[in-house]
Amino acid sequence: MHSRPPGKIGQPVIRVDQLGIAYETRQGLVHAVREVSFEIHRGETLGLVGESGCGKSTVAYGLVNYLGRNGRIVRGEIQFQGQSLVGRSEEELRRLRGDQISMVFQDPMTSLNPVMPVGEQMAEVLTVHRAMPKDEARTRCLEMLRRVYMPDPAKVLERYPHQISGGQQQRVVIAMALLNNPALLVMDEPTTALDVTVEAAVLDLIADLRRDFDTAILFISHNLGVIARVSNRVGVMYAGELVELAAVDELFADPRHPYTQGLLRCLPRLGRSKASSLLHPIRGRVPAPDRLPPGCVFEPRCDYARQACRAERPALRALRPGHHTRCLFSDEIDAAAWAPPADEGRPAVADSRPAAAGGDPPAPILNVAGLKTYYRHPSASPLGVLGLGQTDYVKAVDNVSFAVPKGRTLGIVGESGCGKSTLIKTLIGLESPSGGRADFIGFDINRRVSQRDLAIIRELQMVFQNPDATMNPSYTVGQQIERPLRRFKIVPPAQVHAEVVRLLRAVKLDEHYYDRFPRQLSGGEKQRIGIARAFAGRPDLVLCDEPVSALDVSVQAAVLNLLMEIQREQNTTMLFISHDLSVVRFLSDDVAVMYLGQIVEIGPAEAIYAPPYHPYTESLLAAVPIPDPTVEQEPIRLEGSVPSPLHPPSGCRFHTRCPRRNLLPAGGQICETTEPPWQEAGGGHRLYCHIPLETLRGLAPVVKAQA
Amino acid sequence: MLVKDYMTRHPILIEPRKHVTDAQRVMTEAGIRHLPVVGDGKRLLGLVTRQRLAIQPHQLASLDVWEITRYLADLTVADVMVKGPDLHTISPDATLEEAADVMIRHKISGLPVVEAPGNIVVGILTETDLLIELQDLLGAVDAGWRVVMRVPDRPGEFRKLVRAIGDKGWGIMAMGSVRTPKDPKHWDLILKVRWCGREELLDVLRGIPDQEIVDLRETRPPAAGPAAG
Amino acid sequence: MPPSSPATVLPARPARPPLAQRLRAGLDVLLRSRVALVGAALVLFWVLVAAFADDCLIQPACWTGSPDYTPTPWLARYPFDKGVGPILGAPSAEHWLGTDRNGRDLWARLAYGARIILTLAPLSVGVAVLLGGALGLMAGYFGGVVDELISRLLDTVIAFPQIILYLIIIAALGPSAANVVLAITIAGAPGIARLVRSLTLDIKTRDYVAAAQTRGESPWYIMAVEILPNASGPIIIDAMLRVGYAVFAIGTLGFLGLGLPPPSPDWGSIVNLGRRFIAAGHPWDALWASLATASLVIGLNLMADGLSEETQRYR
Repeated sequence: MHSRPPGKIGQPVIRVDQLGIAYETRQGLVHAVREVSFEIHRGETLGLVGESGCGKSTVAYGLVNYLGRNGRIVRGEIQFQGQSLVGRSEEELRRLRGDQISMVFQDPMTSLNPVMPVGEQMAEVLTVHRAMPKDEARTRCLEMLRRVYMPDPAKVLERYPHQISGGQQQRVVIAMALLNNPALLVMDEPTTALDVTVEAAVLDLIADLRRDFDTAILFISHNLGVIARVSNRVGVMYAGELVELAAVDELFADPRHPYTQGLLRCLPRLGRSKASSLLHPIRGRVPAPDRLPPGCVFEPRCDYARQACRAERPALRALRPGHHTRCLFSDEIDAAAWAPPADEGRPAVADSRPAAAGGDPPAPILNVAGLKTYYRHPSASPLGVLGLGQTDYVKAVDNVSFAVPKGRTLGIVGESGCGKSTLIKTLIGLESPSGGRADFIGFDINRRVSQRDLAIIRELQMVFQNPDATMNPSYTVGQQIERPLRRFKIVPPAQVHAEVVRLLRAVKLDEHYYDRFPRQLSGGEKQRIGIARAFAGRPDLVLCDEPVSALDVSVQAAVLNLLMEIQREQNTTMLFISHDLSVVRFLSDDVAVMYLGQIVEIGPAEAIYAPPYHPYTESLLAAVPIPDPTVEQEPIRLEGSVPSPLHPPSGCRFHTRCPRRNLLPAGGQICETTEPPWQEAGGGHRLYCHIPLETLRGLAPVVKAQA
Repeated sequence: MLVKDYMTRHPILIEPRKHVTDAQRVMTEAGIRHLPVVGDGKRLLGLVTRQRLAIQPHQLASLDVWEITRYLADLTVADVMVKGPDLHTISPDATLEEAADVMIRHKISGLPVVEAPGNIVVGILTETDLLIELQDLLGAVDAGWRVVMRVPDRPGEFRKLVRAIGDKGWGIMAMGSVRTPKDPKHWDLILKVRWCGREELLDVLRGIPDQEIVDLRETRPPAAGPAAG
Repeated sequence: MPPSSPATVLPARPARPPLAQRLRAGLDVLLRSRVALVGAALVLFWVLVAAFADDCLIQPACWTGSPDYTPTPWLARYPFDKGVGPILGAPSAEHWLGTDRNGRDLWARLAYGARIILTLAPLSVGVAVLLGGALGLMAGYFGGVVDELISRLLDTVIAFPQIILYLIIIAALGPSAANVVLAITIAGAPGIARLVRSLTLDIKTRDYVAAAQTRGESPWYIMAVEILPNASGPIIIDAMLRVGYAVFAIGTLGFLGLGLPPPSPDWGSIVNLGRRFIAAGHPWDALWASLATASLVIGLNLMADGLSEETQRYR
């Protein structure tokens, strides 16, 4: 690497000045983006972060004029390589896009043609655009795939997009975007759909490519952790405006806009737990672009709002060179001196496991031993049609055992396809178990929900992931919360309404919500109703299937606080599954890590997040994006993709990807042949690994916070 | 030390159909002296330089006022750009010395960097880039001691010097050697030494037989690059 | 809402959402689409014509058949089954659309015919929706063997061309209003069942259905309360199109002489009887009845098109 720092020499690749984008709707012009200004130099990444609906994607689409029929740039200027992009003809922009600007979207399949082999699609970029001979183009594509660290690139060229994994698809898209050596790369949530370990590898790749190709990158994400990892500078967007723009270290160390400060306070940090810290959601919600407050857009939600904030809309101003905010009082407000407002509900500060400190933990309420859920998979042989061939099974959950004491929370983490969802669906009876035992308050629940007693059904409820699907759009909020009350006869019919109102209050919604339809609610509100519905029957055990993963961070914090509060009040036991290690760490007393249908590590939360780790847990922790650029993580990356659960690897299922195998004699041959033993690390912490505990204990912690 | 490490990537480009005044404006606003002219797929067609934009008096001498206006109005980038045999380029995999050689031989101040198949522009290399390389080569980016030693033209002198410094555990950030100007019997060696004090360094250097200290001074890193935002 | 509100009176089912609100929303969508508006106007025209085929809506005397009943001069001046004018008369001020070979007023016959068609077509589609919807829901929700059985059965019915199916059923059971309804139900139900099945397959993966399952609700409750209301939009639009086809089918059956027996003023049979006189310089019977059928079908189609477009735009 040579010595010139990025972004120092010459003109910016792109300069956006006072950009305003509006959409035409039935209600008139809606200004989705207002007064956005920034510039990106060669070899620099500008991260654009904000919650959903804040206009960050609109900015990206505005740059390449993908605004659709009803969107247009109403103000401002975009200078790309010294030339204005505003008011250019469709044809000129198209050529420019092909040559100098590339885009990478969240879903790689939107950029890939499903009926064309990967190699052909990539080569097309070169043969059509540059009239390059076919052989030459192929060599180029191969080289580029190698450049993006694609395993076995020659084979990938022959494959169709659906035959490669999601992470590999995204690599192909990035490789394609780079084939033309673009000056500007616009990436809109490129890793959001990927698992955390794959995401980490793709982010590494993006950082490498920026350096080697000197490309200017506009990187859009809702995830502050991802932004902290890839960006040089960060712009924070709120309600269509850029509210803060600063170098990445400065933004995270010393945020000056109240919104940025609020966002950082909502995030559960890795290593923090509900006992040690609080989450502070930002009150209120993002205003709709057609109903903006007259003054500062953030004023209604701001803890520092004064009269002046209501009177005038602040402009983006420089606090010091390179640090801009759109707040009148940025110089005065101090994030460190912030105290939560008095009316904020007290989250579960108290340790929720009083018995754990001394004496024995309470008796387990849920006991699972050797649970198996297999799906029948039609075999490939023609005999399968006749039902004669050998039936294959997808071992979604294979031999899982754990126990949950009353009143505690067991968090289950793992990447997609690890079986965590199937596990809780089996427990609640939506899937039929194939073997093993599951006892819930002394009753056998190893059967489908339709064969269970109503009394058991009532004690076992679930909170779902997708806020848009969790409520039936045909009924009002009140009707949907009433249903479990009536069905389980929780209160006499005359008191149902009062009880619904009480539940609404419990989830911090007022009575007016009773008659609202789901389409009138925001995602966070829907999720609250989902929680109210699940807790309506006062169940003993609530299973939460990623209840906050679809929510924005500020809403997520409020919902997490709510879950903890209700849990504490009702002394409910919870199973909480999530792919987000920070959230699980924050909420759970115990954590189980799943890989390919099996639990590989289980124990008290603080034990899981410190050595000794299972090698898989270790790589998850190394990959998790942390919203703090000063934190250093060991560069441990998993290779390959998760093997098919149809034919899981022999011995230890993780052996095909394990980065720590070579700690064992003979390169870990034993891992391929023998199932690992459960090793007790003390305090209920168990590891499913061949590597001796002493060796694992000796490994350095993966996450190092700087003093 | 290859062209691709020092060139400016993603140079500003222009299309041949564009008007000369557009080129002028782009060059002034961006503060650049070379503007590669490209066709579809960034294929190099020519190069516009500042001199090329200056109108030669003899071209206008025979025209009246109206004709001059029209002449200027019709002038496109394709009309004024350097093209054909006058257009010199360099490959990204060439060495900087090769690039310098081309530039010196043809007395030009910048070279478009093109990739072989299709003449695709991938960057531009100008005198400034070469000067940056010189700066890097002489180790000017970090603080240290700049030493110039004059040594006789015979084998082993270089080793003596390096060993003397190396034995002390000091670092050599950069070094170069040139035949002493006007004295073919000697070489001037330039070194950038760090992690040591002036006196101890002087002691060591004085202790080397047959070598003469020409110059010793402290250097600091240059001020941050131009136009830091 | 006070605790005694309707929502708390029904113990098992959640109360319907406010009907007025729903109607207004539906009307809004209709008014927003110009296509749907044109369609609605056409359909509304025929509904009005059918309603005022006789005076009974405005003159109670018509019901009782009392002697002091005199027809209103503008509306229903003539009965449909008695000759009141010249044989094969051309349109005139007296008989707007002319008269047929029996001297019967064509306007009166069309108006009474509209009554028949506007009763039979929605009725038959309604029965088909009930039957097909139930089958589709079960096939989609239960899946597996139930799905296989129902789907194969429906495929068998679909394999027959519709018109042949009509002919077989009517030929076997004899022409009558009930049999026409039966024929259209049997021919139409499989298509509806398929639609409902695919909608059910989609909706049953939603979390709210899983939530109902985790409450231990019965499959019937889930199908009727959780799934059906969310499938109703596409079903209604499909039904509207099907009413159009049913109008056509009833016309066809009438034309083939398999519709309602005479003197019923079925549009199809008017065309059939009138076509013999086209060459004789009296095209009016066939022309008016054909136009009537066409305009009603087009109206229904436009309405369905416009509605589906609007609802999809806002999904």
